[in-house]
Amino acid sequence: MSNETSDKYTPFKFIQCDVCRGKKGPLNQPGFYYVPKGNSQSVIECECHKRWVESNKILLDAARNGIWVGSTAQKYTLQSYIGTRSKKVIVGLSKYVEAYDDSNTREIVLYLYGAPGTQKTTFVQFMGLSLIRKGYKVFYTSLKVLSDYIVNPFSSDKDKDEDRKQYLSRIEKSDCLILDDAFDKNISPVYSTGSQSPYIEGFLRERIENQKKGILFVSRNPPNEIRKQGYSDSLQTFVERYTTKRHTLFEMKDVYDTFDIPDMFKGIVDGKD
Amino acid sequence: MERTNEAYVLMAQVQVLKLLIDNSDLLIPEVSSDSFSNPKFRSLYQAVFLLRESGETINETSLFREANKIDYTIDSPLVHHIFQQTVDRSNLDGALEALKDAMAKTRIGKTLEDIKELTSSHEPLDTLKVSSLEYTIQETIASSYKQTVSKDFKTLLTDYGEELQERKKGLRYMFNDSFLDQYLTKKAAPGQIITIAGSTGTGKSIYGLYLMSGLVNTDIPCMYFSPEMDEMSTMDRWMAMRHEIPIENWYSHGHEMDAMIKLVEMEKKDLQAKAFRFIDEPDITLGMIQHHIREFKMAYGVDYLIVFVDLITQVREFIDTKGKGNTNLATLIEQGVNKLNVIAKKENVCIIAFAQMNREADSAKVRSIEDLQQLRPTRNNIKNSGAIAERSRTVLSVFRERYYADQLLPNDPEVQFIPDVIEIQVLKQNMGKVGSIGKYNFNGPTFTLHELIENNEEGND
Repeated sequence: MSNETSDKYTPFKFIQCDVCRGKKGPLNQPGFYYVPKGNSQSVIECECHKRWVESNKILLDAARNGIWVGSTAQKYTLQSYIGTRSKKVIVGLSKYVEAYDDSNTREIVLYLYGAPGTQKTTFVQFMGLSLIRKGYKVFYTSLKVLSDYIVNPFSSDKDKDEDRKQYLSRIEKSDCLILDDAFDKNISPVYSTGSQSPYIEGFLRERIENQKKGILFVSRNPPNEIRKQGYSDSLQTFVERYTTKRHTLFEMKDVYDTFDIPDMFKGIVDGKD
Repeated sequence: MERTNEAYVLMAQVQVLKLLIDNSDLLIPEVSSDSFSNPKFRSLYQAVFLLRESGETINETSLFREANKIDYTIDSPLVHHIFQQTVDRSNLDGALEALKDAMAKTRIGKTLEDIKELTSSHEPLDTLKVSSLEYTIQETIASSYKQTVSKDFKTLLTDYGEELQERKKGLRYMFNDSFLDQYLTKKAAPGQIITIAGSTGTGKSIYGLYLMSGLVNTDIPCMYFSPEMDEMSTMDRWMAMRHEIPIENWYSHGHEMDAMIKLVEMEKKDLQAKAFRFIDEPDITLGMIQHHIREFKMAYGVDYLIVFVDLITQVREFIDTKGKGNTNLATLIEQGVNKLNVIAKKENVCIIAFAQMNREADSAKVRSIEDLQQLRPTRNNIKNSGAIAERSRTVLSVFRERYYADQLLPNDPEVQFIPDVIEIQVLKQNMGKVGSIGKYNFNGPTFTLHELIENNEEGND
């Protein structure tokens, strides 16, 4: 399976059900059909069309929230995970998804870490889509992007302000927040003054302690290395309290680094000419 | 007593003058110098008021002196004759009626002379001017027409009982649209104006044609005044809508057109006997509208019909600001709507007036699908209203979310999932609930509207 960093949303084709197929309706409006009413005709939207619209809206909203919703992502299952070293972790995380209806589960803060290529992002995207299918709102972002929005709140650019408002509004509305590339100074530069840490910590406290909403951290580094990455002691302590101490810290170990050769390069790369 | 008698009119003028002379505090707002058809009495009237203003006692000498300054042909015997009259205030009503009558006759006579001048001129006939003069005559007649307007309880309740008998039949003044017939208490009752307001492109005219199609199908007499859209464009939409054939098909050429032409022939056969008239005069006046209504009623032998005016703000009285002095547009509209109300009541018609929405409704910042709801119209958005909304018994708004989504969020993939639905909302209703929304599925290529029902009442799903 190719590792897609972005999986574009495309609406899936509408297929009429037995109820509306074959019934006369307005021109070029499958899923709508006529019913007699008094001296004239009225129109009804078939339930199958309503479901199709609803499903697409959910996926569209998910795509806007950073979740992969393309055909590849939609086909991903537990069995798609490659490797055995972290199989128990995967099973545990899927139980977390199943138990998400319980409000206590929704408050849990999870921390996944592992070397690059250990399928962390792919799997949390699968978790996110699974939660969306259960009816929950999920927002996926990176700590870098979040920091940019919360550390520099004021801008003279009205459009940027509007973007910021919408971004933070989506986070607030989300039930599950996935923070990728967390606490990695190679990906998210840290000011030498450490001035970002209080903002990040303030945000995390608000979400975890006041709003009682969970976060799923995804990182190359475990929580006990947060300070090494340039963040404050206080931030590291806070994250450890909600993850390491509560046994919601998991390491992903199965590296998946075998990729298919793109068709255009076949015969060149593999030497089979 | 014959009020057309010249002598009686002269006597009335004398009586009014004497009353004004004897009662220095008497003011009669209905009377002016124009009320006196006789020029000498006109001058005497002016003299009376000059003397009043100067504070001088009005007697034969002073009145003769002042009147002579204005009109030297006035002689003392005439003034003496006036002072000989014995009148009291009980004479006033009768005298005023006579003056009013005389004024009406003078005005009508003069207007007829103007019409005669127009018709005997070598210039091409200015039908607009003739129509306007004809309206003046009608107005004069209406204002001087004497009829008993007061009814006792017995008459009132008898009439009301008859009305209820008609309502009992269940088919009184129907639109034959289930939303309007359910949520408008008075439905299409005569004597009222129903305003339908919306921004450009939201579907006002389409809704009007849809309603008209229903009325025509059920033999309810109706007229369509279209100062905005031309006849051919209206017929394109009408045929596309009624036959559910895309509008571009009606612009085919060659043999592709044969089928369309055949449909037109069939439509003609079906509708030629219907009580319907279409007028697409761009410079129409209220007088012309009233004239056409009367003509319609005579031609079809009906005493009630539904009149569509699309757009009401294109009617001359609502846009003509020339020569109106300092009168502002809002006042003009108020006056125009008042006249329209009079037409609705006098001619026993239901007027459906289409009005443009205030542009402010379209300027809200829209960045997402949720923001589109800000564009939903309210009563305040009706252009240049209060007058239109205030004087209309019923105000309906037209809103089409998909239209705005296509315009303002063309790149948003969620737009494709917004159904193309025209929503009609009851914004105002003097005798009924407000806020109800009727939804109609709109099919763009064919300009077709069908009521959209939420649940399948047939139980087919």
